[in-house]
Amino acid sequence: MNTLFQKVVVIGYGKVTGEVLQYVYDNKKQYGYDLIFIEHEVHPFGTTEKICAENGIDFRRITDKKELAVLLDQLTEKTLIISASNNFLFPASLVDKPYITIINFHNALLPDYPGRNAPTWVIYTGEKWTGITWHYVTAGVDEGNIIIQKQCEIGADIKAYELTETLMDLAGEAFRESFADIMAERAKVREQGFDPERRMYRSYEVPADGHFELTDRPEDIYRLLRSVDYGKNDIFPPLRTVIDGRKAEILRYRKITADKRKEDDGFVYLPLGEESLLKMKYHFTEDKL
Amino acid sequence: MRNFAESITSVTETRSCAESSAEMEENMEEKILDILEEHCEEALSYDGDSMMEDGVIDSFTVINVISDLEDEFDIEIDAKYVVAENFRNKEAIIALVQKLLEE
Repeated sequence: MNTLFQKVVVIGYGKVTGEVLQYVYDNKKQYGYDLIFIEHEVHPFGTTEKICAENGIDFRRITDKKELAVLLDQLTEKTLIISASNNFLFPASLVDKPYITIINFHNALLPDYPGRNAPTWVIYTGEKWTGITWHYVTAGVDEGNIIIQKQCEIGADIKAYELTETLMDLAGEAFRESFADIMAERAKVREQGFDPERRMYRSYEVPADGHFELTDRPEDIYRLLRSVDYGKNDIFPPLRTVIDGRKAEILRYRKITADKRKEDDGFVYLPLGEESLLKMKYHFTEDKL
Repeated sequence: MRNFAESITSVTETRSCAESSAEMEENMEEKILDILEEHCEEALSYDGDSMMEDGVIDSFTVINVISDLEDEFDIEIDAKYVVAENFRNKEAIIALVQKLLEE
């Protein structure tokens, strides 16, 4: 297997990063590149450090943005940087270097839903399909040419973290399919053709500003809840509403059948379809308004 | 005679409470194991000390398990408890739920 890349740098965290790192390592001998893994964001259940330890991969934990930028700027060989589940924005000075190639995995079908938390926004806006994109990185965010995309259906009850897991599986699959072409620099790409005015989703944006009314349609409330549900990962704050004239936060929710309803304190039930209820556990955050 | 009868009743009641408490604990463990079985059957037979590192459970499975535990026991598992240490094996998960139920 031939490649002109002398070095491969993998940066990211989470499931897909572990898969990508393992795959890149498994192919290292055939291609002959040096391999470095950079952990910029620490994941509580990450497997990458263990993968590095087991395989003797150069592991660098660099959580400071400036320090990371300096390290990458010091690269002198022809290098492929693989950004998978990574929020570090590569500076233009790095992207513009002719001997540096960067590819990135985005968890949406670009050019749609660029920016952050794409699984949230596709659920919230009621999309029926979404997918992943591997693309070359340019100075602009999520703007580079597309290498490969894969799509998946958005189920009626899917939560953001479940969709994220599906997208990560697709990303791993797509990466393995494309790796040889990327290494040989012969990947067939296509331009995104995006509208320069397209909406960029920011990390600080929360669907519906994180608030709903109990008089909203239960299906909309349920969709909102699912769209911000990343389990205990601190992506979004709890959704807020008003119950009995008092401000409340939703602690958890579940779609249940009507026969499972119990009259317990701290729960509110809303009809969801013909035979289901949306059960929400809440706590008050303030006294009566 | 009355004191003796009362003392027997007291011992019987104490024994019943203890049995009831043991039953409750067994019941709690069973429910936790049922939840684990639903999301990660391998966790039931795992006898090591690092389920995450050993690839028995991943972060998404942990989210699902937490969601069901919270619902089953009506507890809130704060993010500070969601660390590999508390999910290193089934015994650790049972201990975590026990701790939160006692709080």
